[in-house]
Amino acid sequence: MHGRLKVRTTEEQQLLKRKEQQKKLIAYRMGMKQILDSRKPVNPDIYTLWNYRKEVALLEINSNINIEETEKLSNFLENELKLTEQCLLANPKSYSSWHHRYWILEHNPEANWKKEFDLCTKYLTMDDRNFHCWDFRRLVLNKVGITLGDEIKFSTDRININFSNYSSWHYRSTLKALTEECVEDELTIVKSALFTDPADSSAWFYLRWILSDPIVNTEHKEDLLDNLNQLLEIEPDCRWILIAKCWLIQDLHADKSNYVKEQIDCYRKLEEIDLLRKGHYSDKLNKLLSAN
Amino acid sequence: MSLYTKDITLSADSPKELLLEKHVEFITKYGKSEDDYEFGMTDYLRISGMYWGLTALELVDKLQTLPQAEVVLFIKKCQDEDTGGISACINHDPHLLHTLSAVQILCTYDQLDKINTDRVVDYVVSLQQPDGSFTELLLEKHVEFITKYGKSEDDYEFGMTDYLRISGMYWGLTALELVDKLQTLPQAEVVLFIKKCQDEDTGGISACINHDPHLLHTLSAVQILCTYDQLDKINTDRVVDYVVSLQQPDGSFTGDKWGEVDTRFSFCAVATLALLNRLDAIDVEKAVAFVESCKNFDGGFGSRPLSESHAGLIYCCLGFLSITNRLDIVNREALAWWLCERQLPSGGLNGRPEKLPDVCYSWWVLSSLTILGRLHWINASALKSFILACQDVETGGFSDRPGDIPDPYHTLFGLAALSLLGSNCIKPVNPTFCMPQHVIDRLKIKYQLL
Repeated sequence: MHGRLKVRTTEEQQLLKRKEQQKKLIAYRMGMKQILDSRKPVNPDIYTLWNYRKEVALLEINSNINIEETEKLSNFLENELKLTEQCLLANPKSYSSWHHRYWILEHNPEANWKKEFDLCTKYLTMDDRNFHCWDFRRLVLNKVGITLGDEIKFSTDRININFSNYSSWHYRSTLKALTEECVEDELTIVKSALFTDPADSSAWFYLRWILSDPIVNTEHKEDLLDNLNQLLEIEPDCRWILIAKCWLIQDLHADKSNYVKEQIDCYRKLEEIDLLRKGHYSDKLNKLLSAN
Repeated sequence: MSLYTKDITLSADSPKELLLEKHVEFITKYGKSEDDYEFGMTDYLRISGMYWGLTALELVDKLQTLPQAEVVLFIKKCQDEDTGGISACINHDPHLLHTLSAVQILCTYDQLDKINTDRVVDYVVSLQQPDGSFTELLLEKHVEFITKYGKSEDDYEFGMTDYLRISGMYWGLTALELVDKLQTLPQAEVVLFIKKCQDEDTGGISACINHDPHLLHTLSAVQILCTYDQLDKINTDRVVDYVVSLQQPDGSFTGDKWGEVDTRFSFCAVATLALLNRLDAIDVEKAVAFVESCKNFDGGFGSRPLSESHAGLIYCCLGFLSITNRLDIVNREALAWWLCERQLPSGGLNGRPEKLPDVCYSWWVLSSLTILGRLHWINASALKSFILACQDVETGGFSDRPGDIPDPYHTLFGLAALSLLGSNCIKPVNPTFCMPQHVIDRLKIKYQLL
């Protein structure tokens, strides 16, 4: 139960509300009783009701095995999909509804997976942070015969539309391993995000991941360090630039005292400008000071 | 000299002498007129009001106009038996403001021996926070909120949530035990209810009578019974059978027989078995391999392989690895950094980048950082202020964000997070199991922390 704003009410309003709620509650109880005898969802999170629908669906599937009855079965399964659609529109985060949808599709020999795939694309353009939908897309990909590698274009499009979208960056990290051929492209896309809005966190996490890959060579890193120093001149108080600069110095110049001093200065500045994570920077600083 | 634009002007007929006698009359009268509207409406600050009036009178040497014995008796009646603190008025809650006022009055009267001063000391000590500050945690209100929630069977909210009843019981009951008020719930009834929710066919436990068994509620039920030390009241061998039946060939777990796979269920499975001392019943190595396959580019974990990192699922996976003693597979530095970046300027923590803060993530993120030995990477006092701001001062209970409606789920995670941050009035909580530490110690359950 998240994000329900508490609105102040007078005692009279409360009494009225309580009366209404009592009426609703009686109706709910009667409904639940009826449903637990005959069973249909009223709240998409009531998992037992979804279980019952699956039991009924299994009965339908097993009793409609003749060719002439397939139409009846696909109508039945189509109605189940429509129901999950209604439930997901009401609550896009309902685990039970997403699972039921996939379960029904899997049990339908005639399932239109391509249509599901297009629906996913459409839904993700409306809410690109719904991880249920991303997970669903991955399940559907396997059915349509699309590989994760084929999703690079979709990922690039999503990121170009909105750099500040952690889910798209995450998705990109799962699509394929970094290779000699693509590393330049990855550095370019992440740099253009960082330079567009250095205060946005998403691309920095992606950068950290790329830098941990041995495929990114010294030359790439030296270039990036230069870029970050330029960016720092425009945005001297952006903590992300300072943090990333420390990663690069640690990788490239951990043995040079003038660079170590620069790293220490960065962490000292971070301690001052980012009080929330002071403990993190102090640990880094102490490690550097005791090693040098 | 600076120019003050906001000020008042003294008119010519303003008093120029000090009207001492009138002031004495004003204060003496104020205290006597019990039926006065102003007086009647200010009971919530009575003891401090007494201190103001009484001290003013003593400064002009007229203290004897007040009935000393009555005042002292009133203060005595305002000392709270449970905490030792002093409230503004009889039947009100104790508060540090009125505790000081009461002690000041008694010092002036030289009557400190009329109250239990040792208990006052206990009260003040209990309010100090680890960062040295004194913040107000509305403990009694929270106890009232949860106790009432469980009792009100006809309440709309309660009636509509039968499909998550057993987990709801675990949230409320654990919250109460953390503040040492477990006895306010009817233990025998709770245990009987759980017994009735165990499914005969599978051995699993359902959210409510007549609902289907599910791993989420099976863990909640076992956690409750461990806290009560009543595990013998259900058939634990059948619970083990149920958990075993849900493990898949790839090592993952489904939540029930309908096939939904999620790392939440991997955690529920090993936590249930560890509490029953039966981890040997499943293929732990395969279970670990599945959780490891859910590790992401940022060091976090998602619900299935390749799923996006999420603080709730990170807690489940770290809890899982803590129980199976396999925290060695974690990318500690990257993950701890990602977790400490969840703290926002409000002090609150979010569950994923660019999302709103929420009290329940105070638990998921904080327990994860505790397991990683990196609790000090976030700002504890800023987080504490955020959590305290999510208290409902009228009804008690915590909500997700300030101003929202409270519920038992956020109340447990708010209190548990405050416990991890260190609190004198909340019992230590175990970061892996989200249960009171003394229960885990009593059962001699092993868990790993870095």
